[in-house]
Amino acid sequence: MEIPITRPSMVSYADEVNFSELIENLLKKRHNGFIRVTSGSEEGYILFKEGQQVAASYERYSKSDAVAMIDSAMENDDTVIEVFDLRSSYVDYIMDVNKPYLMEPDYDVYGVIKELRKPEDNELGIDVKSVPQTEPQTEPVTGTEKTETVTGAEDNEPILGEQETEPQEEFESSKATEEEEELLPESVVGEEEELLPESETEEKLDLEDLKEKFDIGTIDDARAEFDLKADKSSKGTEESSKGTKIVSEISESPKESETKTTEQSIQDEESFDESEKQELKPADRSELMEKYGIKEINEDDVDDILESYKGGSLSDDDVEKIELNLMNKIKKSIYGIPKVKGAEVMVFLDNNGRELAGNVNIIIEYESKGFLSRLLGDYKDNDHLRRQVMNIVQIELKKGFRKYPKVFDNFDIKVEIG
Amino acid sequence: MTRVITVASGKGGVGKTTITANLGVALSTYGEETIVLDADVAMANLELILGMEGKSITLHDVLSGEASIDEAIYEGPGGVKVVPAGISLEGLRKIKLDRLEEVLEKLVEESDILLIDAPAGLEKDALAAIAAAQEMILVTTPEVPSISDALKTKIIANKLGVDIIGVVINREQHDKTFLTIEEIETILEVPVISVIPDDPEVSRAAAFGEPLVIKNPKSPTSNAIMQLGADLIGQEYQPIEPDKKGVIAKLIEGLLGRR
Repeated sequence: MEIPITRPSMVSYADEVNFSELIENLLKKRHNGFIRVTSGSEEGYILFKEGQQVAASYERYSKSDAVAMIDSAMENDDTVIEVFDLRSSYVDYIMDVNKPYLMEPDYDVYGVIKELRKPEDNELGIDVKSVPQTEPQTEPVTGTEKTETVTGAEDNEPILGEQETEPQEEFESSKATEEEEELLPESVVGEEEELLPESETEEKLDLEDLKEKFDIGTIDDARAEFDLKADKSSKGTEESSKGTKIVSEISESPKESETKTTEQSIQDEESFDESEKQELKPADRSELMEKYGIKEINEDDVDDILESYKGGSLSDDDVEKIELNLMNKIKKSIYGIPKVKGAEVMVFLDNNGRELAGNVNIIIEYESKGFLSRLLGDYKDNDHLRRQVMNIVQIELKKGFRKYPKVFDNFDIKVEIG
Repeated sequence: MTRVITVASGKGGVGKTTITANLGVALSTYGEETIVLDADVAMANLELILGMEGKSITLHDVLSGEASIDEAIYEGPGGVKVVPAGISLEGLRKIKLDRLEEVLEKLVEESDILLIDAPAGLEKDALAAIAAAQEMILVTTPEVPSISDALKTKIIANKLGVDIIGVVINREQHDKTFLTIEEIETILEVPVISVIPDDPEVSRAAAFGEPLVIKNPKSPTSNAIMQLGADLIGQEYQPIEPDKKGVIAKLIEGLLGRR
């Protein structure tokens, strides 16, 4: 998720804080902000608005998957939990820019968290982790999953008795929708019993592999534990263990169709994982350049840059070339002045001092005039011509040292008119 | 043989001068005779980072022919020798580059490692600093503009025949909005030799005019730079662990059996 990281209002390790209690506290406080969970190199976020979880991400997971992953990360004692506070309006903005991570409005996060908390309340102290895994799924809370749970509850009924099913029924009523109940297959028990001996081992292996691979099933565990607790709360230890067995059988023996679905989902997950790996592979350089809008420099650009590098440095050869070039340009321009019969232009550059300097000496032969005109205004023509020549030299120098205008001030210009 | 290493970036403000200054001090503490030359005359911050501002004779005076290079070498923190840039950019622009080369030749004689803090960009001064070196360290932040400019600098350096040692990623943050190390390596086609985390201690040390590797040797940045220095000269470096109260507290708790 795109979230601004500021100073956290609380920092703690996973073993120092009860995560579900923390979530509940944030709900009570109608917290606006987010939690960052850092487990090794992995990071997850849960965004809260008025205490409600509105978005979640954990590495490549989002929404409910991310919540499940974050919960799994809590098993690691070194996982760091940070709580950040934000203004309500800012939470809205963050929700707006993180739409792909927003929870579905009907997603019952708190129900899940409560379920996660149940094992801690297990009065009988049964090792809840020993409860066999239910069918793992990529979406921990889905209609299919709920259907399975309901199925299990129905199977329990004849064995555990009517009283025992009450908590289960409560759970059903809170979780299962009418639509889900319609999906409930009638011949589940028979099919399960038939399939159980053949598929149990294989299925168990698959389930373990899948759980190991995707690190999920915690919520399913909790759900099974919830059933278990419901059983045990009204029965003795003996019956409870029986109940455990039943629950494990139920959770370990899905229908054939479900087995196929599981296999399919494993295949889907594998193919998804492969495509994900492909995405994670370092992209081709040209792709990366395109992705980030970085342009390759072509050869001409490099030459231009290197040319500018040479620009400020003059070798002796460069000096001679510049002198000759300037002489020719100034001379050519002077010959454009009417009545100029001849011109000698000498440019001397001094490249030894702190700054480039130079002298420009010009001798001009002007067209001779009659005696009278000489008496009347020859001196005016000479002044005018001198100004013209000076302008020409200045223009040529400025053009020649366009990138270094201050160099122009270091030139001494002399004009003689003969 | 003296190694002449230019630290360049392309983009300004990526922390190049900070890394150069601290790397110079780091190399010096390893016993290498190190001279840091501030060629960044436009932004002569090296003096500030090392707390050596206000020196009377600088690189500018040397290049102007008004002083000898020996007069412009100062002893800095950790025994590193420093040639400050001075402040006149215009002065340097008008000076022949072969004079800079003469200066470098002199400095090479007096050091094991000559570190040149190159100016940002690809103007004449920056190019002169790159061309003067045999090797180059490219500094970048994990952001697109910085990478883009680093790529240009790298291509120019290649063209000038400078050997690029690697890329130092500065101000690294665990943020998906930035490029990853792998992406940076792929784009620049140069190995990443050091990743320096974003560290507020850097600014704090700069404010005190003290190199971070001396002021706070336990900081992640100091450790990363010391490691970089060690790698450059093939030495071992044992990072100095920061004091973590939480860890100690945990240890005590563990010993007391509370968990």
